[in-house]
Amino acid sequence: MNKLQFKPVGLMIISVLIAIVILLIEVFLTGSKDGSFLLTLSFWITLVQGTVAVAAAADVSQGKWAEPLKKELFAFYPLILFTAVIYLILSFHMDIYKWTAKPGRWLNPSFFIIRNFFLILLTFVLAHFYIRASLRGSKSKGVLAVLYIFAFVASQSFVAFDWIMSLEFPWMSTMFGPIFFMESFYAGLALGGIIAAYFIVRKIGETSAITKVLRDMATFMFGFALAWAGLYYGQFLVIWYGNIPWETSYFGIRMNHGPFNILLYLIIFILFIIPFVTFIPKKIKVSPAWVSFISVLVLIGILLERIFYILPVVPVNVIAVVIEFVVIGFLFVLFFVNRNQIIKSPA
Amino acid sequence: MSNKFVFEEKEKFLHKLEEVVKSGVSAKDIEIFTPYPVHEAEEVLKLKTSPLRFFTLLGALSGLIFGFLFTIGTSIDWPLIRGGKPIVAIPAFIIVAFELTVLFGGVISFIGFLILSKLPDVKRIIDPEEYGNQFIILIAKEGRK
Repeated sequence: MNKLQFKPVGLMIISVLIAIVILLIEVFLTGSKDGSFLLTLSFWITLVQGTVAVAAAADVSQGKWAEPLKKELFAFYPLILFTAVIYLILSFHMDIYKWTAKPGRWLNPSFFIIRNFFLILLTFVLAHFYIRASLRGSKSKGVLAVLYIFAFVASQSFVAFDWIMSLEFPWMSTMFGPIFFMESFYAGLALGGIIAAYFIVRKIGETSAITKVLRDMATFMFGFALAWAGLYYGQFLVIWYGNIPWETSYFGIRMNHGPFNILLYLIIFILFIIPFVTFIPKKIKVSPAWVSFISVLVLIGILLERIFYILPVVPVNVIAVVIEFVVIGFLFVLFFVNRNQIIKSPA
Repeated sequence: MSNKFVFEEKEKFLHKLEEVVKSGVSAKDIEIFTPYPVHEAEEVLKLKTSPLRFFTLLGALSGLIFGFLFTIGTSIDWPLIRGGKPIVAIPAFIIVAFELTVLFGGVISFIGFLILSKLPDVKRIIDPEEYGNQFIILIAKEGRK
C-alpha cells in the first residue's frame, strides 16, 4: 500500500493520465454508436456522488453513525470533478441517442453536454465546500449538506432522464429519476459497508465504533433494499396497469427477450431479495464478511441494472468497459489509500 | 427494596452495568431504564433473544399467504375482466399481499408482546417513578452482594 502513496499533485497527474487512457479507448476502440462509455460513467458517477451523499445525509440529520468513516467517505469526492471532465468524452458518442437526428430545444447535443457538465461541476463545488465545512465542524455544514443533496438529486435525476431514459426517446417514466438517486445512495452505503468491513478485518481504528458503523450501514442497506423494490415496482405497476403500447414496449423488449428477462429477475434478486432476507438477523449485520459480500453484490446489481437499461438499445464493447472499470477502480483505490492527503488538503 | 444507580450519560451507565454484571449479580435481578433503546446494555446483560420475532414471522407469513389467497380467491369466485388484464393478475395483488404482510405482522407482534410480557397487568404498567432522560440501574435486594 505504501507504494500507492502520492501527494495531491501526483494524484491529479494520475487522474489526468487515466482520463487520457479513457479518451484513447473511446476514440480508437469504440465507434460513435457505442454505449460502453455511457455504461462506465453512469455506474461510477452513481457511486462517487452517492458516497458523499451518505455523509451529507448523516450531517443533515445530525447522525453520529457515519462519524468514524467520514474521512473515508469524503476521500472520493475529487472524483466528482474527474467524472465531470471525462463526461465530455460522451460528446463523441452522441450518435447513440436517436433524437440527435432531429434535435429539439431540450434534447440537442450541445445543450445536453453543457447542462450535464455544469450540473456535475456544481455537485463537485458544493461537495468541496460542504466537506471543508464538515471537517472544520462549521455551523454552515448543515446548510451546505442540504445544498449538496439538492445538487446530487438533480444531477442523478439528469443522469436518469437525460443520459439513460433519452436513449429510448420518446419513452418516459417519471420514476426514473428517483430510482437513480436512491440507487446512488444505496451504492454509497454499499461502499461504506465495504470500507467498514475492511477496517475491522485490518484492525484500523476503534473496532467497536467501526462495528457500529458496519451495523448501521447494513441496517440502511436493508431499508434501501425495500425502498428500491418499492420504487421499481411502483414504476412497473403504473406502466403495466396503464397498458399503453408506447409505454409497455420498454418492458416488452426487456421481459420477453433473453437474456434481458433473466437479467431483470437477477437484478430483483440481487438488489432486493438477497439484502432484505440476509440482513434480517442481527449477527449478519455485524459480520464484516457478510456485509462486504452483500455490499459487493449490491454494486454488481447496480451495474447489471445499467446494462439492463443500455444494452437493449445500443451495443457495448466489453473490452473497453473492462479496461475502463479497471482504471477507474484503480483510481478509487488510490484515492482511498491517500485519503489522509486528500482530506488534509482539499483539492 | 432495591439498589438504584442513576446516570446522565450512557457511557457511565454502561460502565457501571458491566461492573455490576462482573461482580456476579444475576441479570434476572437487574432492571434497567433508558430514555431510548441501548443495544449495548442487552449485550452486557447477555439477555436471551426474545421469541417475539417468531410471532412477527408467523404474522407476516400468514398475512402474505392470506393476501394472495384472498385476492386470487375472490377474483376466481367472481371473474371480471378489468382493463384487459388476466383474472388472476399477480402484479396488482402484490400490493394487497404486502399490506396484509405488514398488518398481520404488526398486529400479531403486538399480541405476542402482550403474551410474552404477561400484559395487561396494571401494577406493572404504572410505575410511580419517572426517570426522564436518565439511565437507571435497579438491583433487586436479593441480587446484592
